[in-house]
Amino acid sequence: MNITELLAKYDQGETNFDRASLNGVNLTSADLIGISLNEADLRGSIFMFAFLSRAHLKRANLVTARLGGANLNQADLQGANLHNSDLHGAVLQGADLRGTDLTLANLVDANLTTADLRGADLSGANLTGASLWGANLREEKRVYSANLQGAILAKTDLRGANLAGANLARVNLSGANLKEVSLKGADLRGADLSNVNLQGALLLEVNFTGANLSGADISNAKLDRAIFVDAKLAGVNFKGAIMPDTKFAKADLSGAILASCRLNRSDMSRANLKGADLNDALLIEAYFARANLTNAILKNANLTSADISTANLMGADLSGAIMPDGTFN
Amino acid sequence: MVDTVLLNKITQQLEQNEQSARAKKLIFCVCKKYWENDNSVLDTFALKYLLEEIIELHTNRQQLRYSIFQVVSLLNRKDLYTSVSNFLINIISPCYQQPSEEVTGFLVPPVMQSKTTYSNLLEQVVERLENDRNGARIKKIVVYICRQKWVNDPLILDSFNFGELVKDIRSKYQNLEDLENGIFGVVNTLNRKDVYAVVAKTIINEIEILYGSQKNAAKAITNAQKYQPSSDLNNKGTVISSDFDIDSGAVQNVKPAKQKRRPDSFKTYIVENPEIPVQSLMTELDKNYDVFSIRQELMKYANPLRAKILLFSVVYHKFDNSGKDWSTLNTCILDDLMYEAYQKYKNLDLLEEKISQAATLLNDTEEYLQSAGAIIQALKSF
Repeated sequence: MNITELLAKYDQGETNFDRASLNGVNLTSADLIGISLNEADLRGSIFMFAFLSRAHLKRANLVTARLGGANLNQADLQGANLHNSDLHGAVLQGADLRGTDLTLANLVDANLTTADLRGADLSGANLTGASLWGANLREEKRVYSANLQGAILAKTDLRGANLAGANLARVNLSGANLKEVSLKGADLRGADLSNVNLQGALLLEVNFTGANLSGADISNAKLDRAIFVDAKLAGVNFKGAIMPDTKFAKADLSGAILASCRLNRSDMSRANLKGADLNDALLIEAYFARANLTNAILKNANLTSADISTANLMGADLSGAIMPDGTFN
Repeated sequence: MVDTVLLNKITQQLEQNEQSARAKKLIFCVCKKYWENDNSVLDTFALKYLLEEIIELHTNRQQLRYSIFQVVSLLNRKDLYTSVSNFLINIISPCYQQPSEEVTGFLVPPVMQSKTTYSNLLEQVVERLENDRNGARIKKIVVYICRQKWVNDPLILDSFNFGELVKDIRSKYQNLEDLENGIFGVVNTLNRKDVYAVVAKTIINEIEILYGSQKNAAKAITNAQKYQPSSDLNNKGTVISSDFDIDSGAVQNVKPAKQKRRPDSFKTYIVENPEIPVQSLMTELDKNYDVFSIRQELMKYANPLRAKILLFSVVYHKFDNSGKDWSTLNTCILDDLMYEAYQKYKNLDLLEEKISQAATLLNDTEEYLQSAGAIIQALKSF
């Protein structure tokens, strides 16, 4: 089938072109709203600025296709192969991208808001500046299937997105907006999270081992049992965060704001808390073995049963604090 | 007084719902007039008492619905909160005994209602408009709408009876939508659109009580906010503007509540002087330029790639489709181009002109003009 034939038939109201062979065709700016191209061969085709909203492209072969600026709102792309495709600035709002192969795809500045990306393979994809708020990338039946390894997610808008259980180890998320995101149980080991906004995020049991969170805002987040071993957290704002049973061993928390945080039973062993603000913090049974608390502010903190026997408290302000033995300082 | 058994039942129903946290935030906002995300603050307010407060604040389902949706219309996650609102309204509704009668009552045009009530309302509206900080500007607009002439002379302005003018407006426009279109039609022809958009919003807010339909009122307020790039300049000089504005007044109250709100962490700024020209409003904008909020607004109406090509043309040179330009476009992101364009001109009117010019020079001009409008709209909304 050639383009002329396809466009003529589409004009006459025919929309079913399933399994058509159209590789390498140029359909720039074509109006193909609602077209059905399930399992079609569209390798290397050009759909720049094309109107493909609500199109059916299930299991279509779109390897290296050029879809920059195309409108794919609510399109059904389940299981499609979009490997190495160009989706620069494409509109994929509410699109069904479950199980798609988006490896090495260019998704710079793409609009993926509320898209369903469960089970999608995004490894090596470039999502810089993409909007993903409300997108669904969560695990299913406790098995995480979406793959984001090596993806570039810098400056992405992921507000409210569901990334529970995601493997984001070593992923670049610098400057991303992750406000109120759900990352429960996600793997963020070694990830670049510098300057991210994680306000109010759900971060239960997240593994941040070795991650760089410098300049991040984690205020009001829920962080129960999160792991921050060796993480870079200098100056990070944790104000109002709920974070019992967290592990901060060897983490750099110098100058971090931990005022009013609930840090009961947290492991702060060997952590650098130099000049950290721990005013009014709840530190019941917290473990400060060899922690550096020089010049830290612990006014009115509750240190009942905490282990501070080997901590360096030089210049620390403990006025009004409840000490490990239950006495007021 | 709310029936305790019923209240307990509603509380229980709500607590068991998976959206209870969001519903609580909504109720909290309607009652306390500011948005609170901090759970530690929310936890200090028992859901039952908040429910009691919201029920007592409203005399019927319609009023409740209006208040809730007024809040929802200003939220980012409208879809999500719309379903929460519907659920909330449905479970609270049994508290209002005769919803059907009340609905009917509200739909009756005010002119059909008791004359005393209508003239009282009119008096109150006139009084508030006259005493408003922008009273003179309000009168200029009202005179222009009713008498088709622009009057600057205070003495001549004084000679017009405000009550008659408001009555004329009410009879000239059959619904709030028409009123809104009429007023903003005038505002769009003025030089100081930003200042007069605020004035227009005040007029609509005050006069809406003379119309029966609440649905239109909500729409009018939403549209008025679209024209409000900076702040509510009426609010005693110092005004806090944010994406969360509940300053629009409620139809159910005779006097719209002027509440100071807690600023949101994003895009909040304070304007001290109501006479600020556009240029300095941009400076205020600069301090609060929030890339994510602006991008979110832009994404609603613009194609990201077209927006990038347009902004590239404004910041650098006309996009020529060459490999070099594509390569540059690939390596820079929309947010940065938007900010660079904004930095380059620092004036929305000028930027609008430049973007429109750029659009006319590109193929698919119509598509690019649509994106141009969306870019300006996104910037103006902050």
